[in-house]
Amino acid sequence: MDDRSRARSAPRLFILQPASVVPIYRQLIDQVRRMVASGQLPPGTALPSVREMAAEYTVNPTTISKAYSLLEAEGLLQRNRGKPMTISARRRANGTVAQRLKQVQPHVEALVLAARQLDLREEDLAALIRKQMGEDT
Amino acid sequence: MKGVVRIAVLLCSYLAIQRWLLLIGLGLIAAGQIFCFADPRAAIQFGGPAVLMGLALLFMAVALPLGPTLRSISAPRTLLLIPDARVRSLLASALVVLALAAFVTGNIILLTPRLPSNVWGRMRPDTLFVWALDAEMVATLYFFCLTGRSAGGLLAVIAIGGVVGVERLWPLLKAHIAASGMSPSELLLLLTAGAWSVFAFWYLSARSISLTSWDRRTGGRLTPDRDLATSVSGSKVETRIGLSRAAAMRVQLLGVYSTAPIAKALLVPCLFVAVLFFAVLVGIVEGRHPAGRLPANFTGVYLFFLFFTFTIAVGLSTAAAAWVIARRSRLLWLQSGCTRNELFDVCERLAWRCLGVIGAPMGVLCVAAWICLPHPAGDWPRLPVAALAPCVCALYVGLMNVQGWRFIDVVAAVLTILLGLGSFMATPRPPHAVLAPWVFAAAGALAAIGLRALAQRRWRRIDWLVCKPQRYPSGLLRPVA
Amino acid sequence: MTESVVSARHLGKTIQDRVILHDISLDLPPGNVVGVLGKNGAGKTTLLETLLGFSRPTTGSSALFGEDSFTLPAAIKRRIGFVPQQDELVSTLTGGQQLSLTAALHRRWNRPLIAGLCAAWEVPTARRIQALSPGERQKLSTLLALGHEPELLILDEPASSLDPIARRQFLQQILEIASAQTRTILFSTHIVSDLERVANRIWIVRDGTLAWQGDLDALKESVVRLNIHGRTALPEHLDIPDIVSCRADGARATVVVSGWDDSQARDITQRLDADVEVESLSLEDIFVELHR
Repeated sequence: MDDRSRARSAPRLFILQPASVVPIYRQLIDQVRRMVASGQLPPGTALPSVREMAAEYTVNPTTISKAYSLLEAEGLLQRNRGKPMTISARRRANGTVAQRLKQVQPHVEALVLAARQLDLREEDLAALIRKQMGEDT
Repeated sequence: MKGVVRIAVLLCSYLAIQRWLLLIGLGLIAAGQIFCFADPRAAIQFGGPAVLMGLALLFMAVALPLGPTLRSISAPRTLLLIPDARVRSLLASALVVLALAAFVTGNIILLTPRLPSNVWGRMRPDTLFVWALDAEMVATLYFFCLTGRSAGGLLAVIAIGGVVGVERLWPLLKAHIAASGMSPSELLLLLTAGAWSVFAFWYLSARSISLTSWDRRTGGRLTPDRDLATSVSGSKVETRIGLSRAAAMRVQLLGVYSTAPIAKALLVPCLFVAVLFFAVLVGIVEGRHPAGRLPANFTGVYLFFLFFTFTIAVGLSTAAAAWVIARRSRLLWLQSGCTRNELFDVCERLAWRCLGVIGAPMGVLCVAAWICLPHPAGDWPRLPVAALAPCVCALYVGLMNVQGWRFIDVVAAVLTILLGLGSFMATPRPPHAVLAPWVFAAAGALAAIGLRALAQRRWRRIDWLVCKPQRYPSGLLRPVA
Repeated sequence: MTESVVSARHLGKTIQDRVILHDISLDLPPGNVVGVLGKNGAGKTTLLETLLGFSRPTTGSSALFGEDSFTLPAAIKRRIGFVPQQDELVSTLTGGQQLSLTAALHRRWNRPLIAGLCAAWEVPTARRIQALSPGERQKLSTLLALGHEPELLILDEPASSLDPIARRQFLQQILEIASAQTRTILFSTHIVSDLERVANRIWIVRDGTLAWQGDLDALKESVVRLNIHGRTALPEHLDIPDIVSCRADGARATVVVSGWDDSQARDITQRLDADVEVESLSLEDIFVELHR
């Protein structure tokens, strides 16, 4: 118990909501991706172990390890023998452009649907996307 | 009024076994009465005993479970929210008692002209009614109190029973009462009404009526493990605990460490029953002899009644104990690693131990009565056998009842009861006995062996989804709070 | 190949002419935390207790660690812990006495673990069990099943009367046990939020059958609600695979499907000439939809 409460004294990194419609491992993957992209998690940062995460957020350890494995396969995380997992130095996501476009496909669909409902024109939406991407980079 | 009648019906038919006994008892009574009318010469041989047996079954079906049933329907606290619920339950139980007393009286009145007067004597209807009423009232209150913790109620009943006994035994007091111009039955009616009033007052004003409990103490040397919560220091993972496996299993099954407190708790009720029966019996004997002269050999009949009480009390308690033990066995199957067969052996041994411990106070009483009271010649030495055989059968009836009340369970229970009644009817007066006593002794032994085999077979495939542990049993005794 | 911890083949149970379980087949490898979800009276307790061997199945078979449940040898029983829905504590004893009683029944007993948990969960060990609150009884009952460190832990509604803090502590302990990858935990509940936290697999019991068994994540991803807005009136038969429930009215329809794959959306859009909005569902919604 004591070990665990000490571990919990560190501030929380993620927001995991078990009751959400998004599965927990997805929530974790999305948040790691976003934090890596925004530089909140610079390369080399050690992530808490599966056990620590499970205890901290009271979620099943297999859920955490599933998320970690998927992130590792994606190239975002690096597994180190006997040490915690770290953010890999190579930030660029792997896969072809087509594959990566496929990943954003659901978001685009949702965006287009919302735009249709709000009666927005295609060029206005495209301009907005262009502007947003220009700001981020 | 409709509500009262409905509760009264519920009180008479709460348990499946009650309904069966009621049915069989009524059938026996009807058959016996018809037989008496059809052939008065054979009435003494068959009709009379049949009616008496039927009345005894009726008494067992209605009067004995009435107390515990009343308690178990009064226990839920939600009852307090229903207006007049307690008043109605009380009226309903009074109604049941009155109806049964009237029914018993009516049947005996109907029967007596058909029988030779030297055997049955003549009782006045009002005397008979009052005695029947009193016997049932006391049985109801007694069992109501025995199954609970209301020591006050128990004391009241004991006091009243004691007064009745003293009144009967103490000629001086009797003479004094006679001088006041009251007949014994009027006095008894007064006492009965008084007891009911005390009980009704307590019942209506009690804030909560608890469910059955055997004993509040563990009565035990179970090593208290207070330090369990504090001693984290031990580095060894496996620690042996100073309690034997056998003892642990016993406590888990029975709920108490040693069986001694059960025996201790039963001693006072047993004494009470003895006094009660003595009082009732003297009353009946006197009712049959209006001259006021007690026959010299009535203590023999008293012994007979005492042993009969032994059978009812010990048999019922043992069956209930075995029943509860069977229901508490399922976690042990998992925790102790015993197979179902091994578990049956453990439970059987424990049930026998219960029989011994429950029977001990009553047995001591019987032996003491045997030594102190003069007993006539006859077939009396067979009494203990007649008393014990149905108890053993009852033990196995309780132990084998692991699949709910199936047809065969009902048959076994009814046979056990008939065995008890039959062997007692056969024992005291050999010339008038329907069957020779040894027939019943042999039947008892055979029945016990058969029931044991059946119980063992059922336990081999005991299904704990059906034989569920119950926190609130619907009546009778329960060795665990 | 690892042997499965719990398995059943066409398991059925009928009690007094009432069919409670019907044709359930399942297999559970070690290292899983399974949540058993079902309405009241769906047969959760019967399923768990039949798997445990308290009862002989009417049809089919069930096995724990490869041994027939009904005749489990002692060596297998030692690897199992069970917390019944209604505790079976000896209420005349104190909590501590009950603990040492159960400890005496087992060959091994992790005393420091239980002592630690007693303190952490605030289980009163010196008070008589009949004076404990339902929550305290439940905690004690759970402790009794943990002391011998079972490899398979079966809990029937273990957290129903616990307060939120106690429930969280309890779930943390479950996860602690689950982190040893060889342990298996099976628990029934109708508190969906607990289940979403700690379970990685889920069995949904509906009317005595297993309506779903599999990964919790897979369930969440594969059951979705489709809000279809057609430009013209929709056909009577929508022809979408694995429909769970469907409510249609003219050009609009709300359809719940299982076995969803995002690639299906495009196909439906084109075929029905309609906008399709795919809505993910929470476990609670899924549970309700599966019972429509």
